[in-house]
Amino acid sequence: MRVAFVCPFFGKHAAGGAEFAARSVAQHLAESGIAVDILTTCLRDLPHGLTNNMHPPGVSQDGPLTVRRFKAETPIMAPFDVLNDSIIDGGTLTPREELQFMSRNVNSLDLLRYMGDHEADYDWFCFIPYLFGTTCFGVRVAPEKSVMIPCLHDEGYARLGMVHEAMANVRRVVFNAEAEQRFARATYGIDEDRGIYVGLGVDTDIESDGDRFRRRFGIDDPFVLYAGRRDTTKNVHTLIAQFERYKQDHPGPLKLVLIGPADLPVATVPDDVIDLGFVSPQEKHDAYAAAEVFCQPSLNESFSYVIMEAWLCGTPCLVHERCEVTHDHVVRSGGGLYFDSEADFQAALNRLLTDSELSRQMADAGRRYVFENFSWERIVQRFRDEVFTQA
Amino acid sequence: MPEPDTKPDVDAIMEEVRQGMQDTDMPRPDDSDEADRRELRASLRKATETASVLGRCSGSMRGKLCKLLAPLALPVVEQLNLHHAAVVTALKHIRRPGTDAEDIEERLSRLEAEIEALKQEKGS
Repeated sequence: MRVAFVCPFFGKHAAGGAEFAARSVAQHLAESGIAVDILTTCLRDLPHGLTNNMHPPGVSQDGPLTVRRFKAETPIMAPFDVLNDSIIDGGTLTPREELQFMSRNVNSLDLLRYMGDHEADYDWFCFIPYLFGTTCFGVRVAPEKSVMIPCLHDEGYARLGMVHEAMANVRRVVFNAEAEQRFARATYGIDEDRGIYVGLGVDTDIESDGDRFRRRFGIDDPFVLYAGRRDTTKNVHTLIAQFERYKQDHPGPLKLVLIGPADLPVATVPDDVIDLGFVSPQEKHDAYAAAEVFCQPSLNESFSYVIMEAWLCGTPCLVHERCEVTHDHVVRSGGGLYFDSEADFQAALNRLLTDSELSRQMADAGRRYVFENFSWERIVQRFRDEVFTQA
Repeated sequence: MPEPDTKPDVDAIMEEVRQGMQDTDMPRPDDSDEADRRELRASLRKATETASVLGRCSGSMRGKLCKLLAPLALPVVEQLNLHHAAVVTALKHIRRPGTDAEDIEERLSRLEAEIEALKQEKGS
């Protein structure tokens, strides 16, 4: 079997969840014996711009993956920002405006030409994520062998007519979360014959040492941990505010430890909050093991690797009730509690901190959930049995 | 989905991309209502961001903001006269960095009442 992953950006240094997912899924499929090509542009990633061809075009090898890069188009971008703002704000574009937008949102005519010339060489084309020209135009080349891994959110882009059309034309759509599948069913009418919930794979062989983390950073007190981008898009300001109020009612040594990139969304860091910034992956794993509770306050997650990692390191999770994806994970696994209001947060955190038996059971349940659903063996098997099948 | 034996026309797909790229007209420059709505939505977004970043608002107030923003995104509400002077004034005050939490709460309540009244008036 030969499969091509088609994505706007690709590489070890490409920032973004979809980019990470594309690379890790493709690598594990290739390691399982499937020949996998990456068809991508010379762009590095979204933060480096939509027209900045930083990689040279051509063929290279990335472990088991053959990477074919094509020059991205560099049109006059003038209308793009206005159209993009309008979509974000919930506006409706005319078909002409949609074409203006999508033809500026990462395209490569060389890539399209390659797909047309070599379509017969591949059994499947996997497009990831949904909102770029490489996907919306690319799926038209060989729709009967096209699989979309959309990484969907409930956002303006998802309502574009061109996205509806792409969703209607592909052979299969693969979802990272059940909430995403529900959204696609409601928005595009994708039933379970075409839409398959696979999930994302997690490296389950994480090693962690809580004592090593405490020694390394000189933290002796018990703490709640957050790991991820430390900004408002992840709702970290809510976590800090809720934690401060918790501490007002429950004085004691408990700390909130924050790790990850970006600038903190508060003017001053409260006394009980320890902000470590960026740490190494091993230090992050050790932090999970050292924490009493891992809190994921984000309202808009498409999978949430961090709660899976926290469970693997033996820590229960506290998530936001209004994030369907993490709420689903916690309820289905029994691996933690959820909150919305201040009262919820106080009660849930207090329960996890004071009932060590419950915390241990929840961490164990979360760990089982990760192994049963998101080990790479399971994910690769689902692709082989349910996605790459002519049935 | 097309029949498997239907061969897509790659040249036609490429031509469509080229056509879109060559179309550099700025969208709807003469639609002032749309421009107003965009401005209002941008103000609301800025208001939420500002209030959150400053850390001045309580959880309940942030909830109220979210509740306010959700219906504003619905097309039916977009048809209302949301650039009503009172709404814009309230938003300007929310955006002002020196505004304290109580003032924001009060103005948000008034804003909410204003939008509710507009909805009633339009019968939506």
